[in-house]
Amino acid sequence: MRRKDVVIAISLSLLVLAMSIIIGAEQFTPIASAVIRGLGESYLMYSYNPWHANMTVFSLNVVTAIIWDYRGLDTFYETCVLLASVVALLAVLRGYGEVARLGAQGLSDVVKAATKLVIPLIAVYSVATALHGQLTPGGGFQGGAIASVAIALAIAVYSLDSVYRKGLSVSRLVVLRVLGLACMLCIAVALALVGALLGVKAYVFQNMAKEDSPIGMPKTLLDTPMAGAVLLYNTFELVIAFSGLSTALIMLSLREEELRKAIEVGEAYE
Amino acid sequence: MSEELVQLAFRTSAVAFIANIAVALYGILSRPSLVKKFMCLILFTDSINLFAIFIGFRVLRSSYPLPPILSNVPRSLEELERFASTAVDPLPQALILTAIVIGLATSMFILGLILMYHRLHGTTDVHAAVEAEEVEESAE
Repeated sequence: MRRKDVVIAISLSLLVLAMSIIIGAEQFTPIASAVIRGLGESYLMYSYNPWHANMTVFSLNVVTAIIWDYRGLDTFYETCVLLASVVALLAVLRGYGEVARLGAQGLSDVVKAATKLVIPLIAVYSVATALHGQLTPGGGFQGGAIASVAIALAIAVYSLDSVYRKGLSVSRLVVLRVLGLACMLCIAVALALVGALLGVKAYVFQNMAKEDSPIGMPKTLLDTPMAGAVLLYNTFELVIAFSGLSTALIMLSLREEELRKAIEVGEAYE
Repeated sequence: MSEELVQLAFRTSAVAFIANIAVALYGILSRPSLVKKFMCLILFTDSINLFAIFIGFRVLRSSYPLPPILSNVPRSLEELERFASTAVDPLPQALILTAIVIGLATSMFILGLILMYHRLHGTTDVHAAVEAEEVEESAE
């Protein structure tokens, strides 16, 4: 066992050495150059470009434009992976039961009062991050990840019981997530349906008007660029990411009393 | 700052990322505890993600590069061209955002599996659990 570790360590340090020599060699091109790749430059050019209305998204944040418009289908599947992983987690811990009133009191009053002040701020910040995804750094997933921090804090400071008492059980969160995904799917096919009704050409996951398709989502919301479907996708991604991550947090902090049956199921399978 | 110094800083960081990846791989391959393997896996993915974002960076002679976000609505095509010539590459950032979400989803699942492993075997040490099973089988 010791010899194997030594061999692994030596081979990995040789790997680092070899890569360092390649990176340090002067005759290769510099790592960071003044010009970026053409694809990246075209995204920068067309993300908010009213002079090429057929190519643009009207989103000031180029990364969000790529994520929800140019590569929208990719991000949709990524959201499905998030859903699938939570379903897999539920399958691994199958047979558990939620038990309220286990007598857990949480941390001291000082910590509880401070958390009570911080949680609303976290919620506001997460919603702002998600809804301004097309204007500033951020987006739906980042907002959802920030919001799930509030749940993590509540579990750590007040105990899991208080989270149940607020109505955030796993089954409700699963329903919330599936609803979010369904809404996302509706937005994705909305323009295609409208196009079919009006008799013009339209695509699934279409956002702005294209060269052969005259219909598109609205560009602005109350004088602010909303980038069409990007704002809506970000909103529902906030819901999905928040519910997915909170489900995982609740599942990973279940107490022994709740998991007794899950362990019995696991032992029965062995 | 001179050009050579910037390139040196970049090469040093690239080597540091690769060293990080090697340390994480060592942890995944030779630590017996599943929790430590998981921590090293996260270190591994984060190092690779950082390295990939790093590829999209650019070095400009006159000014600092901008983030790929327009600070206000562009008024002319020239303004947009100036932005495109100073902002960093947005594509690696967008791809890495997807990679982070998928990494998070899989790591949630792995964490659940490790928890169940600990509850069934009483330890996260892979070797200890295998040895205990062997002892049990020989007793039977």
